[in-house]
Amino acid sequence: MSQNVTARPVVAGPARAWRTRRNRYGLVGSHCPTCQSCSFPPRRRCPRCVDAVQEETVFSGRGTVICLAEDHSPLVGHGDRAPRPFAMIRLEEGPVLMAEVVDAEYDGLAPEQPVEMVIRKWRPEQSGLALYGFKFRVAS
Amino acid sequence: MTAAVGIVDLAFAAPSGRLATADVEAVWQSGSAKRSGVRERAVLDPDADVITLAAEAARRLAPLPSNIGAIFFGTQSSPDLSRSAAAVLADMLGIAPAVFATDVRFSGKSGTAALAMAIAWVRAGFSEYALAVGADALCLRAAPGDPLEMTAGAGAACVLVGNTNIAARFEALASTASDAADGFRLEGDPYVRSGGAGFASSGIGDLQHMVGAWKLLLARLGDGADFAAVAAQQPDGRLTGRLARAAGIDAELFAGGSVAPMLGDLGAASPLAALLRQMEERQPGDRVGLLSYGFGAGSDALSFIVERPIEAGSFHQAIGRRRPVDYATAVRWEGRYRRHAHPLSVFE
Repeated sequence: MSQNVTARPVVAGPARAWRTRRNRYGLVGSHCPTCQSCSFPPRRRCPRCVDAVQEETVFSGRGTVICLAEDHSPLVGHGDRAPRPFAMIRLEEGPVLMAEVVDAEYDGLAPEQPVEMVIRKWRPEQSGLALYGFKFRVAS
Repeated sequence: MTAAVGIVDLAFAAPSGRLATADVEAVWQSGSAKRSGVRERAVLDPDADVITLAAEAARRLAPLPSNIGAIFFGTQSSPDLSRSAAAVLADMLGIAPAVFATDVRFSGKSGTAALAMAIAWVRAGFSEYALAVGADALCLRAAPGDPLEMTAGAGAACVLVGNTNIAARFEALASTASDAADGFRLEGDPYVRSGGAGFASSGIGDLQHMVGAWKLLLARLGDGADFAAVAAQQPDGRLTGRLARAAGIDAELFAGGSVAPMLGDLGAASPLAALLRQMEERQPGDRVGLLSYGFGAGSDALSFIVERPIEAGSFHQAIGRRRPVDYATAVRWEGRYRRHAHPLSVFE
């Protein structure tokens, strides 16, 4: 029996966007009251001391660049975008995440640079709505 | 006597891209670049809109009080025709869901309309704080070759209104509104249209409504109302000069609030950005005027008494974070060509 094959990628719908909004908008992670480590995205169990009691915490959005790369092969929904910089970023509270760096050219960025979170559109969804989320830029 | 209410804090954000009006002039040869009084305008990033700009401005207000009871989001360029930008912003700021949120629309005066509502909300005692937003991305609403394309920028201003720790105490409000279609955008049309040269040359629309609102405000304040500064709507770099002559306002009162020459027409954010600049240099006791205009047409005039200055750090940062963009890049970022709804990448 033939399957219904579509050339369009499967992307998140409005319901999935609703479920993930807090992490995308606010950098909501977890804090371990036992060993004081922080995690992003939030964990049910501490990855360091495996304590199961974790507190929800909102990170400041400030951090520093660890390393950088320029994306020349755009992901789903970004077929029309010029190459843009991505960075591994260590947040002030400790967790490391990867994010796009905006308002800057790749050549103008360097490790150890302080960055701050901004909210931008990640991609258009199939429904036509924009999916918003965190990106970073060089701190003011 | 009603309890004092006023502006607690004010912050601004704009995209970093700047397009020189001379570059647009070089393409379209319209001859209106110099007349506009705008040197360059803000260009919206492809991953930004009025909601992201407002979120950026609101983060500059930090720390936001936890008891914000309402968000009034004034814009004429929301990305969605029905979904509330105010509700999305409430979630982005972490103050959802126990908040009254609504969008407010009256072209260029959407921002001061939102501010007036926030003041009324707090004054009525519904909550201690309310957030008013004026944000626009008019650059998305300017047709290629239209004079508006040279001046239409993007920006957002957020005003925290409250009844404690007030920086500018609300004093009086006067408004005018009537049916004057000096500008309009029809359903399904992405671009704003001008009502024609008859409106522009005669002042029917902008000057008529702004002067009317200003005179009403002066009448409400009574004799001897002396202003230290006036923050006014700036669709271009010339309206404040025309307004000074028509309303009999000293042109020097506008000088400290200049916004349009560097960023273009910020729409709903324009008068609020000018107010932020004017609040920086003020002394306690100064009276500051706020005068907006929205095509369609209407004007709000408000007066405040300064209790402490507000630092305009967010405005200076927005001006300093400047990346020159050529016309071709602006065309691409602002989506001036009709393209496929879902451009495929090499992996799709």
